[in-house]
Amino acid sequence: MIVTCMCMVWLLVGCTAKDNISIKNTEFTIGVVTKAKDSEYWMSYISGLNNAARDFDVNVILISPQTEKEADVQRQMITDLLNKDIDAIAISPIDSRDISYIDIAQEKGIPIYATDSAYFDVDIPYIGYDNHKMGEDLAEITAQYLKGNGSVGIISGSLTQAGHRERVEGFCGYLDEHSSIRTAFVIDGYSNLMLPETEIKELLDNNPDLGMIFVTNAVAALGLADYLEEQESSIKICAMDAQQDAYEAVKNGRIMALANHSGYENGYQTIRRITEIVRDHKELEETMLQAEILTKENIYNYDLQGEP
Amino acid sequence: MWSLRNKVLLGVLLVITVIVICGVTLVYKKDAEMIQKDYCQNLYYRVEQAGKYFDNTMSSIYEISAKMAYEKELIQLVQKYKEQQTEESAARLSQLLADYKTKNMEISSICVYLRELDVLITSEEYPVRVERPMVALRDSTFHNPTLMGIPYKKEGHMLSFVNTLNTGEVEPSVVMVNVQERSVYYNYLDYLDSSKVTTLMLVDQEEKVISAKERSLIGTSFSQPIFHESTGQGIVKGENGEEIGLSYRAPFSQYVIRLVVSTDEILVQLRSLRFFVLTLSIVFIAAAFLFSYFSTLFIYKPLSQLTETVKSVGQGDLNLRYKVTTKDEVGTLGTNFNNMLDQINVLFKQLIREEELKKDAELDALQYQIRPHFMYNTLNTIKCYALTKGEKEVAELIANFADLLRTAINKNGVFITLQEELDIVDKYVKLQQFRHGDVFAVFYQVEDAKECFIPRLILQPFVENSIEHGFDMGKTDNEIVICASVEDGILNIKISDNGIGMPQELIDKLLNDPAKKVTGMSNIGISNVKERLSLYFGDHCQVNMMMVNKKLEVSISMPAITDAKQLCEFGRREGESICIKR
Repeated sequence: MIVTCMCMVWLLVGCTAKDNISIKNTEFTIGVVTKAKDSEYWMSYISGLNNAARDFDVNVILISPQTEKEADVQRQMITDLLNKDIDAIAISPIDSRDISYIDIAQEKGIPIYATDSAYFDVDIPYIGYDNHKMGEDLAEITAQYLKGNGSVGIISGSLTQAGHRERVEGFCGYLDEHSSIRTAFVIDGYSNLMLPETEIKELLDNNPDLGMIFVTNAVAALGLADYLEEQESSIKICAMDAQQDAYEAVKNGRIMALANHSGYENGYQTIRRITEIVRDHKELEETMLQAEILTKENIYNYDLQGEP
Repeated sequence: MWSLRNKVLLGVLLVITVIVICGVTLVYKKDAEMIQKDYCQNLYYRVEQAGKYFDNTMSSIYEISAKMAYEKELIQLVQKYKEQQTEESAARLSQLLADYKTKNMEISSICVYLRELDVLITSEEYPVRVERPMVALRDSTFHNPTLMGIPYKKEGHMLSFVNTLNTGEVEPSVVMVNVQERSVYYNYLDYLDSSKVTTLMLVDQEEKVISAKERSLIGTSFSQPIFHESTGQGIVKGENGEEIGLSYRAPFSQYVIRLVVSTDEILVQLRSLRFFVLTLSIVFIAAAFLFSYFSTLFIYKPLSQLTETVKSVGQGDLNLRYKVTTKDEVGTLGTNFNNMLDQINVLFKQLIREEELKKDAELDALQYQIRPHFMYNTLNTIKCYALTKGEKEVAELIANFADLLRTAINKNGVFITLQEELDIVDKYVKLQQFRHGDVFAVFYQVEDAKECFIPRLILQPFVENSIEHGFDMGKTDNEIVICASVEDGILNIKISDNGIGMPQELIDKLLNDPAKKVTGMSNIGISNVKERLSLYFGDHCQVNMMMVNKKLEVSISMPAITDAKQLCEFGRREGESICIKR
C-alpha cells in the first residue's frame, strides 16, 4: 500500500517535465522600402504592414526617404537593406526605371517584389492596386458627367513612377476610346504635394472650358479642391487615395469621385502575399487589388473603416 | 492487538499525509513553473518591446544619415571646406550638422569625416574640428550601425551610421550620424535590469558586446553557455535549471538583446511561502487527525460495546445482551447477535429437556429390566402356599425374593433412603446365603447416613459382584463390609470384601463396560450404577474400585441429601435458565 502510494507520488510529481525552450519567434524578415512616410496614405500603408507582420508572425524592416523626390536616397536605402539579413524585399520605387540593385538582390538570393507601384519593363512581381483600371473607372465617371464631350486636365504624381503613369494611361485611354473628351493638359511631379496657387490659376486661365480635373493622389486633389471652392469654380475633381479628408470631400461634393485606393490594404496584402509565397511556399495567382469608386451617392453605404 | 479504530486512524493519517504532501508538492511545482513562465513571457515581451523601440530609433536615424549622404547643401559645404579649410567654413558645416542633429533626439552628434584631409568636422560646439581623428572604417561599417570610440573624446563609445557622401570622388567623405552608447543603455536596456537579472547586454552579429551596464565589457566577446544552442530569439532554460536566458534580435540593426535571469530570484517569493505552506500543511494534517480521532471515536463506540458484549458472552455469560443504540451496520450486528443469543438459549433449553427425557428413558429402560410383574404375583402366591403348609423358612425366602422384585418393579421414586437400599441388600444377601450356605457375612456400619437419599439399586450390584466373583465359596470367612458416612455434605459409601480380589483390568472393565450383564439378579451392572449416578449428580459423584490391602474396596460418593426437596436441585427446574458450571 505504501509502495503504491509512493509510486503514485513519484508519477504525479514527475509529470511536470518542461521543454527547454518555451518561446521561439520566427525570424522570417521582410524588408520594405516605400516612397515616403509623410502622407496619410503611407501612414495607413505602414499600419497595414505592421498588422500583417503581427498576424503572420514575421519581422518587417521599414525604411523610406522623407519625400517621394529622393530617388537617390531610396536607392541607397535599398542597397543597404539588401546587405542585411532579410528573406525578401518589397519596394515601392520612386523611379520605376531604376533597377540598379536587382543584381545585388539576385546575388544574395533575396526575392524582390514591387508594392504600390510596379517597375517598367522588368519582370518583378507586383502587389497592389490595378492602377490602370482605377484610371479607367474614373474616366468612365468623367465621361458620364461630361456627357462624352468637353475637356479634362490631369495632375499626376511623377510619371517616372509606374503607378501614376498607369493611372494616367488608363484614364486617357478610356476617354480616347469611349468619348470625344479632350485631354487639355497633363502635369506631373505632384506626388502627395499640393500645387501652388499660381500654377493652378495659370492652368485654369489657359483652359477655360475644363469640365473635370483628374488628380492621381488625394493630397494634390484636396489642395486643388480648396482653390476651386474659393474661386467658386464649377470644375469637378476626380481623384485617388483612401484617406479621411478625401472621404469628407466626396461627401460634401468637393471631390466628385474618389478611387478608394487603400494604403492599409496595400500594405497588409504586401506582407501577406510575400509571406505565403516565400516563407510558406504557396502558389498564388498574381491578382491585383480592385478599388471601389466612391461618389456622393454611395459613400454613405460604404464601410469607411477601411483599415482597422 | 491493534484495534480497528487505530487501523482506521492510521490509514486516514497516512492518506491525508500522502495527499497533502502530493498536493503541496504538485501545487508548488506548478506554481513555480507558472510563475517562471509568466515572468519570462512578460520579461520577453518587455525585451521585445525594448528591441523594437531600439530598432525603430536606429532605422529613423539611419534614414536621416542616408538622406544626408545626398543632401546637396551638405555636399556643397563639405566641398567648400575642402577648398578653404578655414574656421568659418568649418563652423558653417558644423552648424548644418547641428541642424540635422535636431531631427532626432537620440542623435548625440553628427560628424563629417574628410578622408583626404583626415579631418573630422563635428556638430559639437567644441571641438568643431578634429585633426587625425581615430576613425576606422570598414566595408561593414556602411551597412549597419557600428560601435566605435568617440573620435574626439578619450573615453566613451558610440553607434555610428556611416554613409558616403554622394560626391562622386574617389575617396569620398563620409557622414557619421552617432548615438552614444550610454544613451542606448539607459534608454533601452536599463529598464530591463532588476535584482533577478544576472546578465544584460546588447550584442552584434559577431557576439561582440555593444552596450552593457559595465562599460568594461563593451567591445568584448559575449559568451554565455545558456545561449550556445540558441540561434536567435526566444527563451531558453539552462541545463542546470538555475538560469533562464532571453534573447531578442532586432531585425533592422541585427543587434541582439541578451538577458539572463536567475530562477532562484524569480521564485524568492514563492520560496518564502514554503515555511507558511509547511506550517499550514502540518496544521491541516493535525486538524484532520483530530477530526478523524473524534469522529472514529463516535463511530467506534457502539462497535466497542458490541465487542465487549461478545467477549462476555464468549466467556459464558449468556444472560448478557447488547444495547442497540444505532441504526447502522453495528446496530444490525447487535440486534442479530441478541437474536442469536436468544435462539441459543432456546436451543439449550431444548437440549436440556431432551437430555432429561433421555435420562428418564434410560432409567425407565434400566428399571424395566427388573420388573417382572407376573413373577412377583406368582411368588406372592407361592409364599402364601408355603405358609399354609407351615414352611415358614421357605415363605420367608420367597418373601425376601418378592420384596426384591417389588423394589425392582416399583416405579415410584428414583431415590430411596440408604436404609431402604440396605434392606434390599440384606434380603439379597439372605437369598444368596440360602444358596451358598453361611460362607459369608455382611456387616453394615451406616448409623449416621441411614436417612440419606440415594438412587435405588446402586449397592446391590457391588455386593453381588463380591459374592459372585470375589468369594472363594470353599472358605467360610468371607466378609463384606458396607460403611457409610456423611462428611461436609458428601455421602461416602464404602463396600469392601476380603475375597480373592480383582485385577485392575477387570476393575476398569467393570466400571466402564456398558454391556449388559447376563448373570446375577439383574442386568444392572457396575457401569450402569456409575452411569446412573453420573446422570443424577453429574460431576458431584464418584465411583471407584481398587485393591486396598488385598481387599477389593468400592467407594461411592455423592451429595448427602436428607431432604426430599433437595432432590430437585439435581433435576429439572421450570421457568429458569440453567447455569452449567465448567
